[in-house]
Amino acid sequence: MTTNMKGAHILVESLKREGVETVFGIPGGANLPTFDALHRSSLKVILTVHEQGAAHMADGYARATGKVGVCLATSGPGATNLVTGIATAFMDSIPVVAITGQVRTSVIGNDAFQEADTIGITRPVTKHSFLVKDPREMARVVKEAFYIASTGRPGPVLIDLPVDATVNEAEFVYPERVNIRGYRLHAEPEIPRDAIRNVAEAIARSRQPVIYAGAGVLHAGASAELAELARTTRIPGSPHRHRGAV
Amino acid sequence: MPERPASQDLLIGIGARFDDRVTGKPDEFAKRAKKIHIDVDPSSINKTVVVDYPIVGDVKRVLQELNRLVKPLDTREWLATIEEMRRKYPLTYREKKKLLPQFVIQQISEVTKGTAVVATGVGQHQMWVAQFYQFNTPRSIITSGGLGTMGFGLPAAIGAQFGRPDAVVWDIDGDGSFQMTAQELATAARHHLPIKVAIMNNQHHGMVRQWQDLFYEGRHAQSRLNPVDFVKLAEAYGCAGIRVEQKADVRRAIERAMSVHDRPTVLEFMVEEAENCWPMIAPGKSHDQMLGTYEALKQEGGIPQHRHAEPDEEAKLSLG
Ligand SMILES: Cc1cc2nc3c(=O)[nH]c(=O)nc-3n(C[C@H](O)[C@H](O)[C@H](O)COP(=O)(O)OP(=O)(O)OC[C@H]3O[C@@H](n4cnc5c(N)ncnc54)[C@H](O)[C@@H]3O)c2cc1C
Ligand SMILES: Cc1ncc(C[n+]2csc(CCOP(=O)(O)OP(=O)(O)O)c2C)c(N)n1
Ligand SMILES: [Mg+2]
Repeated sequence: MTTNMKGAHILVESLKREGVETVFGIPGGANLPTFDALHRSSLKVILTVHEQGAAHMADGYARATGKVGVCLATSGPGATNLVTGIATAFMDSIPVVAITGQVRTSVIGNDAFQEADTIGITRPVTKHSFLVKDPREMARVVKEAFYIASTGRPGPVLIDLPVDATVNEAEFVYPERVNIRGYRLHAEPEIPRDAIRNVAEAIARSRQPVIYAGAGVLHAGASAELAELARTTRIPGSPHRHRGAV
Repeated sequence: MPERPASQDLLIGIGARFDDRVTGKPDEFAKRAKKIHIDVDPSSINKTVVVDYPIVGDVKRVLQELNRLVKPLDTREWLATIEEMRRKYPLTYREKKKLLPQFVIQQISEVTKGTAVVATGVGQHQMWVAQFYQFNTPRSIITSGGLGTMGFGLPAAIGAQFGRPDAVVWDIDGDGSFQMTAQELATAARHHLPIKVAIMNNQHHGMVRQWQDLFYEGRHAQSRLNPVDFVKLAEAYGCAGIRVEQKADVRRAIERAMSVHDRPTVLEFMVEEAENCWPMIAPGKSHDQMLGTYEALKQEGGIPQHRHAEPDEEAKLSLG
C-alpha cells in the first residue's frame, strides 16, 4: 500500500527523519505550502524578524550542538536576505541546510513576481545546491543535502523549492542511504598510513614542536584524540582558543 | 627582539586552515619549522602556507592512527622556555579610570565560571572575548571568524539557546554589530529565551577607529556612532535592560542578569571609547612585528594590573 503526499509534507517528514527538531524562517508566497505543512507537524518553527537572523540562528544552533541547522525563506527577497548568513556559515564550514521557496517551474526565468536566481546567487557560498522540480525527488534531495552538509568539510547546502514541487504529490519513500557518485571518497578519504608514519617520525625528531589546532578538530569530534596526542608526546599547543577546540 | 614561539622547529596543524589572521605574512610564518597539515579538504592544504607533511584525512581517524605511533618526547626544556615567555610577556591591559571592556568580559567569565556559550559580533569586543573569556568547554565560542559578519552575535546566540536550552548563553556584542540585527530581540522575547546580551558601548565602530588611529593619522572617517539608549530599546522589545557606567557596578549587574530566567536581558556597558585591542599584527606584517606587546605597553607607562590566571600543568598539556 502506498500513499501519496504533497511535496511539502514529504519535505517535513524527511526533515524529521534527519532528526530535525527546530527550524528558523519567514513565510511568503512561494513557501506558504511548506510553512503550512510545518505548522501541522511536530517541528518547532521559529519566526524570525529578518531572514539574515534565520540563517545566523540555524548557524548558531549548529555550532552549539554539532547538528545541522535549518533555515527557510521565501523566493526573491527572502532568499537574498539569507545570503549573508549562508556565506558566514560557508566561510566557517558550518553545516546548515537553507530551504528557499521559488516561483513555479513553468515560469522560472521569466522575471516572475519575486523571482531571483537563488541557486546562481548562492553558488559561490554553498557547498552544494539542489533545485527540486518534482516531489518524487524531494526525499532523496533532503537526505543528500543533510549528508553533504555534515560530512567531510561541513558547509551550507541550499534546497530551492519551486512552489509546484511542494503542492504536487508523490509517494513518500525515505532512502536508507545516500549514493552520490564520487562524493564519499572526498568526504571520507582513506587513511594515508605511510604519510602518518612519516609524521610520527618527524615528531620523534623534533625538539621544539607546537600544535596548531583548529575548528576541524570540533567537526571531527576529535577533542579527546587531540588531548591524547598532546598528553602522550608532551607537546604544547597554541590551541585555537578562538573556537575552543578542546 | 625577544624570542617568540616562532622559534619552534615543528608546527603540527590539525584541522586548521592556516588563515591569514593566523599566519600574518605567510613567508615569515614559523619560518624555521617543518610543517605538518592534517585536513580533510585537500584544497585547504598548501593554500596559504606550503607544508612539508600534507595529510588529507579526517582528524579523528588520522589522530587515532598517529596516537598509536607516537612516544613521549623530552620537551622539558622547551616547555620551560614557553613558560618563561608566558611569564615575561603575559596577555594583559593597562588600567584606566573609565570602564574597560576587557574588565567587563573578565567579570562575565568569572561569574559564569567559563562555562557559558558566548556569541559575539565583529570588532574589538570579539577579540577581547577571545582573549579574556576563559573558555572551558568545546562548542562554546560562537563567532564569525572567516567572513567577519557584524550582526552575527544576537541571532547566533538565539540559535544556540534553542539548541541547548539548559546552557547559559551570552551575546557579547559591539554597539555597531548589535544594531545590524537588533530586531531579533523580538524573536528572543517571544520565546522567553533567557539569553544575556552584553553590549560594549564605545559609541564607535571601535576596530575601524583603532585602524584609523594607527594607519590613517587619526582621521575618523565614519567610525563614530550615534548614541543609542539600548536600555529603552531592550524594554521596547519586552526585554530587561540594565545600564552600567561604573566599574563597581559591573559584578552586580552581571549577577542580576543571571537571575532573570523568563526573558532576555540587555546589559549596556558604557565603556572607554579610546581603548585599543593589543597585541596586533598589522596587515602584511609578520609575528616579529607585533604591535602593542607587553613591553610596549609597559614603556607607555603604567604597570599592567591584570594577568591571566596561570593554567595548571595538566590544562596546558590538554590544550585547555
Ligand atoms: C577581526 C578578526 C580578527 C581575527 N583574528 C584572529 C586571530 O588573531 N587568530 C585566529 O586564529 N583567528 C582570528 N580570526 C579568525 C580567522 O579569520 C579564521 O576564521 C580562523 O583562524 C579560522 O580558524 P580554523 O582554521 O581553526 O577554522 P576553519 O576556518 O573553520 O577551518 C577548519 C579547517 O579544518 C578542516 N576540517 C574540517 N573538518 C575536518 C575534519 N573532520 N577533519 C580534518 N579537517 C577538517 C577544514 O577543511 C578547514 O581547513 C579573526 C577574525 C576576525 C573577524
Ligand atoms: C557586515 C559588516 N560590515 C562592515 C564590517 C567592517 N567592520 C569590522 S569591525 C567594524 C566595527 C565594529 O563595531 P562594533 O560592533 O561596535 O565593535 P567594536 O569594534 O566597537 O567593539 C566594522 C565596521 C564588517 N566586519 N561586517
Ligand atoms: Mg563599538
